[in-house]
Amino acid sequence: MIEIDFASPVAIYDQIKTGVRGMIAKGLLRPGDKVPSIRALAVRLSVNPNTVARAVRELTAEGVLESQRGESNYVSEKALLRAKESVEALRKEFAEALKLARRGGLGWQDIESVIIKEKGRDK
Amino acid sequence: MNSNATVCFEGISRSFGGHKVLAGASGKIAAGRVVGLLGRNGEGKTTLLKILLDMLACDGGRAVINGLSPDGSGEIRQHVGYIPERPLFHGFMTAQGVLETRAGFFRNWDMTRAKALASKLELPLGTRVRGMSKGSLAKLTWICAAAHNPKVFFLDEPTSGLDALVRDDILKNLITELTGEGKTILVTNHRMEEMAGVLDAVWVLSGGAIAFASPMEELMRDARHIKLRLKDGAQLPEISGLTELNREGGFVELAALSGAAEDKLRATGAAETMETAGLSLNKVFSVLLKQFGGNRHV
Amino acid sequence: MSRYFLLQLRKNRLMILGFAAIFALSILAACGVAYLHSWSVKQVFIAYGRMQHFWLLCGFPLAVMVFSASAGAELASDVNMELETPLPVSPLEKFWAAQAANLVYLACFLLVLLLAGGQELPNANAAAQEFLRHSYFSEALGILIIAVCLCLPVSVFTCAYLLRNGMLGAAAGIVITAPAVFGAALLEYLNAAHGPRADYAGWNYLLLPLWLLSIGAVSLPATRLVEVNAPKKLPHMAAVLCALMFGGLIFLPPLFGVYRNLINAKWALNSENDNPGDMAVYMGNDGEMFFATPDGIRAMSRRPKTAPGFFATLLAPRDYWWLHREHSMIWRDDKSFWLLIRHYNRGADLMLVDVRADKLLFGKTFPKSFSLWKMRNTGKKLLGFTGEQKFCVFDDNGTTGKLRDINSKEFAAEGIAVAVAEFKAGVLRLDEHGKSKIWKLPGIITLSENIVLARERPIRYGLVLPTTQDGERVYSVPVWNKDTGFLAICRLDGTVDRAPLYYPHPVVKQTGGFVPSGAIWLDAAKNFEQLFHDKPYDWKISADAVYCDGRFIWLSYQDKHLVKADGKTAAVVAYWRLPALPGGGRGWESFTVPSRSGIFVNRAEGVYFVNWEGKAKLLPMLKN
Repeated sequence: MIEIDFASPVAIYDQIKTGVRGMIAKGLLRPGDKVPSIRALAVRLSVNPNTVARAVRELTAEGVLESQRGESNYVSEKALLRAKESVEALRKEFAEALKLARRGGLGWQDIESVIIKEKGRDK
Repeated sequence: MNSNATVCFEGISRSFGGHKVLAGASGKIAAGRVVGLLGRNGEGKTTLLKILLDMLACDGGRAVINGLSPDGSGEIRQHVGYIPERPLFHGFMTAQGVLETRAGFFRNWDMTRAKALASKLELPLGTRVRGMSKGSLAKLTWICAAAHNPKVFFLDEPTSGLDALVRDDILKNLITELTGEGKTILVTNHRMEEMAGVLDAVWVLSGGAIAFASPMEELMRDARHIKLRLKDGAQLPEISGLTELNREGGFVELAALSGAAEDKLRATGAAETMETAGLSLNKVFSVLLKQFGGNRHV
Repeated sequence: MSRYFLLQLRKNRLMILGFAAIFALSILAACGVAYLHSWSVKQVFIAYGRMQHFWLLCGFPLAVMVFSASAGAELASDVNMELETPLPVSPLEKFWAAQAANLVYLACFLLVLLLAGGQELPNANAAAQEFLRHSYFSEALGILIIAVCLCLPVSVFTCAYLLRNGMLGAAAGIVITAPAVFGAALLEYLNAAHGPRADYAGWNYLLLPLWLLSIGAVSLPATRLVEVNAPKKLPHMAAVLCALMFGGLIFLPPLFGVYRNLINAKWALNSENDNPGDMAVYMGNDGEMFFATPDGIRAMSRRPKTAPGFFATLLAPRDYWWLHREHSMIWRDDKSFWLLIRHYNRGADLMLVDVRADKLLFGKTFPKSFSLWKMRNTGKKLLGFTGEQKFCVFDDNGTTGKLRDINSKEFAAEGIAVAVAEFKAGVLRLDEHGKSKIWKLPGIITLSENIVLARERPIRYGLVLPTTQDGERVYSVPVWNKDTGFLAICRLDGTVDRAPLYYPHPVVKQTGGFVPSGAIWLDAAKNFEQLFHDKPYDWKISADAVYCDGRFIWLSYQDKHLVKADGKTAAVVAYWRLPALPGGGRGWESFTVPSRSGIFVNRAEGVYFVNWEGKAKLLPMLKN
């Protein structure tokens, strides 16, 4: 489902949020799908339930998830829209990073080799 | 002593025959928090836990666990789930017998819960302790620690020596404990990286006291893995907060636990090229140990 | 508390079963061997009895130590600490629950022993049981039992717990009785040197609470030291040690009693009475009776019914010093004897003992209100006298009549015709059948054993009890005229016979033969002083004549030499050293019982028989 990179400087709750959004954007999670309980998610990801709770809280605040019947969380209708929006934000962020790198003196070959390396890791 | 904290200790000292193991150790854990205690072998992690659990007398200092102080009566242990470093049970008893015996000692023992945990962990209750494998013993130990619904857990190397599946079981159960009311947990683990996602904060016990304490989020955010190439003839500057990981001629690998250290290094201009990335978990904990952990080899 | 206690019981199950197995096997083995050896069932019963006694007196205390030491060490062992310390039980609770479990098992063991065996000491192998005998008959029986059944296991357990080691713990448990041992030796030394012995009758009330206090005081620091590894501060540990040793003082009364019995003298019962044979009858301070003949010593090992039991010795401990100070012994024709022992501040014990069978035929205790001091034999009747100038008559079954005042009327009512002696006038008068018989004696009448003082004051007359001689009723009174004295035997036909008379100091007694009267014996002591260059011990010089064969006389001089002297001239013919008195004789109550072929003397090693050639033989304890 979601991969948590414990080595990343990105906070875990942030990674969870990004992961959920990513899955919605890719179409792996559709509006109306039930999200696993906080306990189950925490166990599955080996993370502190509080962290998961925070991620869920913020996603709910952002409108990506909504809680129905009090307990469970579901992917909201707006989620896709939000996801698309965040993917757009990611794309923009990536472009900025590229610009920075080019400005800093990184050649196109170097940039491509980085992409290849990351792709390889993804497999 | 902060009354909001569930676990609070101040100035704990203990010597063994002239050898000072703990000297003024102080710490606070707020309710519902998980703290990982790092320390090299022999730095006194187990000693500290035993003192807090009223199993060992201290030379000085105070402690309050869930409103109780260690007073020699053992009352504290009614309210704490404890996994000892080397769990032992009476060899002649079966797992069922162990649970029944414990039920008699712990006021808040919940036998239904104990049995449910046993079946979840797939621990057959009829086996005799004498014949149990390490994994089964660990499961039994966990049940004994959790079945009386304590609000505080002290776990001393709960996953040491266990195979990956049992380890996972224990970890899962630990996380489950945290949901809902949220229990306060102090855990030691030589392989802290397996619990990194669960920790709220990490402490390093060294030189008899808590030499380093930091929330996990900050630590992960600020920790850096730096690879650099020194300029010809340049020396690596001495900057506190930097730990050397590897050196191969002019190529140096460093770890920094704060952004300030990295900036300082950059400012010295000793590096020709420098690359920074996030510091991986296993490296984080071993860097912490290297930097704060002390020289004792026991 | 009970949960942990039950856990402790379960843990030590194996050990108690092991001991039970050893016990059962030993009994079976003894019985089996006895049967195979003798093919007699009676021997099997005897063997069974012996094993029971061994276990009760020897095996049980050993079992107590082994159990307690291992239980204590086990509780403090590293393994047990790791295992049980995480439980939310306080260390004090664990300590006391473990102690309690230990005591429960020992109590079960003891119960089995008591149910399985008899309560009597066997006569067999008496020498080997010398020590045990003294314990069994001890004055401090009550506190001894408590000390062995309660204090010993608890103390040994505590020591083993503190030291975390069974062997060391057992050894330390013994060492803490050191104050008691030294105390007992010191008390014995002090008492021996300076007169009346200390009254330790009330010690039970002091020492038992003291022990409880000391154990209570020790348990808290002990558990902290062991369980939570409290820092070992020297004053702390010294205090623990002191408390333990303080508590060890509870062993003082039994040790003192045993020590005294081992070291100190026995006292002879029949030194002043007829001796129906070559026998010395003596008693230990603890009440056990022994019969010594030149062949050896037999013991009457049955605890007299009159001896106080567990509760009596515990709650009303006796005043030791006066225990056996006065006694009267009357031999019967059938070689048994009546024995009356007067206890100073209690009542009196009356026993009828059969010498041949070493059996106690009869035993009875008189309360203080009816406390008899003396017994006299008129030949026809047995009389008992109390301290308040009253008397009563015994019959052959030991039942007493009512107490009567001492006067002629009362005696007459009992059918005893007493004669009235007017001491200064030297007149003896008998009123009988309405007639008066008067003997006028040439001198003043002095007191003797068969004269009782009448109840009226001032004492000018006494009542003379009749005695029987050659089947005839006679009245014997001592008569003195200036320096000459003789025994006047007044017969009913009015005649007066003369017989030799001897007074204490210088003590000259006689058995068997006769000693020619005369002042010569008063000077004998001075001769011996020059010969032996001996300093007197105590405050008098004593030369006790023990035998005369018509020509020579034997004396025990200062209890150090047996001297054979010429009967007429007091010249020393031969002398031999008697076995050495312990400690130079100070504080030692020796006895010398003369008999026909020699004297019995008692020493620290035992009782010797010295014949008229001066050859001393240490008498062995004989089997029955």
